[in-house]
Amino acid sequence: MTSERPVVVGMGLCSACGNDCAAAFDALLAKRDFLAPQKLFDSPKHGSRLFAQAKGFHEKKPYSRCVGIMLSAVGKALENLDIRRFDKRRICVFGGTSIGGVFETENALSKLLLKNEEDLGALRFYECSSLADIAAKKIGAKGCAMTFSTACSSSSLALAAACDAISQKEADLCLVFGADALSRITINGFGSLLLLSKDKCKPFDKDRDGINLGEAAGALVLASESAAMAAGLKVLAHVASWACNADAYHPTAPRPDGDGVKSLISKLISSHGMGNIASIAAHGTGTAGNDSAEYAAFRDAFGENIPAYYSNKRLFGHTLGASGAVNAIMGICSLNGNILPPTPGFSVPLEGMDMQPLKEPSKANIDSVLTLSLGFGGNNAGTIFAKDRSSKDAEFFDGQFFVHSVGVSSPKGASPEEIENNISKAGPFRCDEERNLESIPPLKKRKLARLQKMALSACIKAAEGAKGALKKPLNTSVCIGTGLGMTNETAKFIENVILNREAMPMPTAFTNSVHNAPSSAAAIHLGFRGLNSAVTAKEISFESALWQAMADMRSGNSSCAIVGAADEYSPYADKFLKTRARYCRNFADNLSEGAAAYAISADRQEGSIAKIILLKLERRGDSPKEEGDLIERLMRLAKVPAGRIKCCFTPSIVNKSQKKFFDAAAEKIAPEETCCIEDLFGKSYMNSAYAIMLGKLRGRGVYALWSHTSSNLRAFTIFEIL
Amino acid sequence: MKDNLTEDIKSKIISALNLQGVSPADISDDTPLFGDEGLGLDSVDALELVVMLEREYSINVSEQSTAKEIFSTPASIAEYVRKNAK
Repeated sequence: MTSERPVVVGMGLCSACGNDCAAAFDALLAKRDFLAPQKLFDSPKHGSRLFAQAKGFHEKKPYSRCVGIMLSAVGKALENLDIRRFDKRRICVFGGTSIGGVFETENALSKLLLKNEEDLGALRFYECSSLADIAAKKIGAKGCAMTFSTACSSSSLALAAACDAISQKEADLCLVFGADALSRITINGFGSLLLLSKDKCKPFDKDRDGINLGEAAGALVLASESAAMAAGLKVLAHVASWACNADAYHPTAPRPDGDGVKSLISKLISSHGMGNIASIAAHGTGTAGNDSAEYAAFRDAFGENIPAYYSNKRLFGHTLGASGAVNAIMGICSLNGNILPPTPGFSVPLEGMDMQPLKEPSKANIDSVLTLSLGFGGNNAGTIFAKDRSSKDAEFFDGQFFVHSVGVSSPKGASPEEIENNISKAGPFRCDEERNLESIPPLKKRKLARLQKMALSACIKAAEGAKGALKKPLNTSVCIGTGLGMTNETAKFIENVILNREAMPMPTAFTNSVHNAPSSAAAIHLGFRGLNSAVTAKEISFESALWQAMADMRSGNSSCAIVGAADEYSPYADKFLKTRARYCRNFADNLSEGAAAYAISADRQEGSIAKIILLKLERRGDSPKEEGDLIERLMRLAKVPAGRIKCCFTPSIVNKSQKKFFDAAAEKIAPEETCCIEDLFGKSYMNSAYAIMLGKLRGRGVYALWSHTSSNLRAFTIFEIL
Repeated sequence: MKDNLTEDIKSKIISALNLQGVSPADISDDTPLFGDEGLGLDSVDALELVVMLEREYSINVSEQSTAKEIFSTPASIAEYVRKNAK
């Protein structure tokens, strides 16, 4: 089907140079910087380091600093846009963050560990998904809302997802943002990797010695070209192409030869198909590893004709999850201003560097710009923005997807058969994370943390079972949803920083603390180099990962996928949930964990186990009646008559109000039976990932999965077991 | 005769890096720690060794560039410790 064309209609930025995009671009041209020691918390080891602290935002309670920065950028992006004309159900929100509100969580842990003062409610800031939830509520969006957390490429994955949603006609308008604030974990984490510059960063310079961390949020409003025209919105840039891939090489370091980035650039250019790339907004962090690998990729992708390229990291600092959005905004400013920006901090070229980054700004006629962001785990993403619309129409795949195999690591067993035998027994709620990993030598898995092992176990089984369906590793994506990510590694790292006053850091725990540590581990082990994602959306994290993987395959970025969800038990999550116990039924008594993954592609195989008939993520109806109406409409859209559904699954029902919504939906679905997955496996954000496997255990027929989050998002899935 | 410091360093490497199934006897004094030839450690392991030196011998290594030489073999670590021990 012919794609819609995504265009940028709004931009907002909040960073060390305030919250005005044009002023920030001018500061970049003037090679200014705002680097200074941070005053957010006492830092015995890194007190002399320089950072780019954000300004121009309000720290609003009850939000985190990160949300304050994000809302400032989002407010700016929407300042001159009247979005009331848009259908709210067709407005989606895609956020990106590396660590979200972890700074406030650290403050709470500090009080707890040093003064024994409990402020457990503050642990909620840790949940990255709250960023998209808060932004969606703020702007009244009722389409899907999800937050990507793939370290430094987070907001670029969000941007790609928004382009998919618009081009595939899921949304008319999307808010995309990336946001990160300073925190103990990032400062000490990058410190432990010896990646913090002693002074000011020098991107692409021979004498570069590391990064300056920065805080920022960048927000972009994207619309379909037709909706933008209908609403009379000014187009700031056309999104000519977007792509994501993975190095599948190392948990933190990029491939030294830049091969992953090179193939990303080739992919972007081949689907772009117009004009010359005038400039590259490089990731350019100023670390030894990144800059030389990135330059190698430019050389291999462009040969002797490397476009002008620059890094803005001296100005903004490395703003982690926000850096992709910041790069995009600077790229668009350069496109519209016809100015190639300089690289502040650069003076002496790398050895063997034929094409140097720009030292001074220069005027040029610019048709299109490439912007890149490269994250931990070799997680690469890029976008090409153009002044004019492309002359040729793009297509997307609008057919169906098939599930070929399942892998699980659950408290009740590590295979569907084992689970079937144990399903009616009470408990237990903990996984044996070593299951299915027996064949991996101890030295190869010595650095994997529990959640990575659980996810890897599920992914390996799903990949094995898929047989011929995953024959293109370069085009196979890995999308793992997670509600809480690597909580235990994060907690371990922060506890150590607080108790040891920043001495004796834990580099491995830091590299394992990112939400994409499980998906990276799976990609590295299986050699899958397509999109690599960690998406977080509370109880519907699995459905969000499934949505993203299918959207990515529809756009042609990947051809098959491993999709799953994983969450682990954590004592802090337990403590936190107990503070909420009075609102909810049996909260935390049965806190559980697990991982499940499926191999998925558009080609039906002989052994395919299921077909995805429908997947819809959106804000649930405002009343049970409206929710019933929405579900009725979706059933009609899927051409599934009421009464056809054998079983309707739901991951959990937390309170009476949610029960009313479920009952209203179930009335329209009219299933033969309903099944609350929490009753079988205990409470975990990943529960909905079990549904397809549970359907398979029940046998042929059509099944539904209705999942609801505490932020009132709902996912509705219909699948047929073949 | 075996050098005590080098032997001590070998067992500390094993415990700092969770090298399950490896004993100090499996590692010779000049086994390369990094690369495919020897133990096959990576850059994050090197950083764990930086912390190990700080914890066990109160020695600071703050530059990534020098870390590479110091950590090339158990013997080179021992030499560095001898020179820098306070």
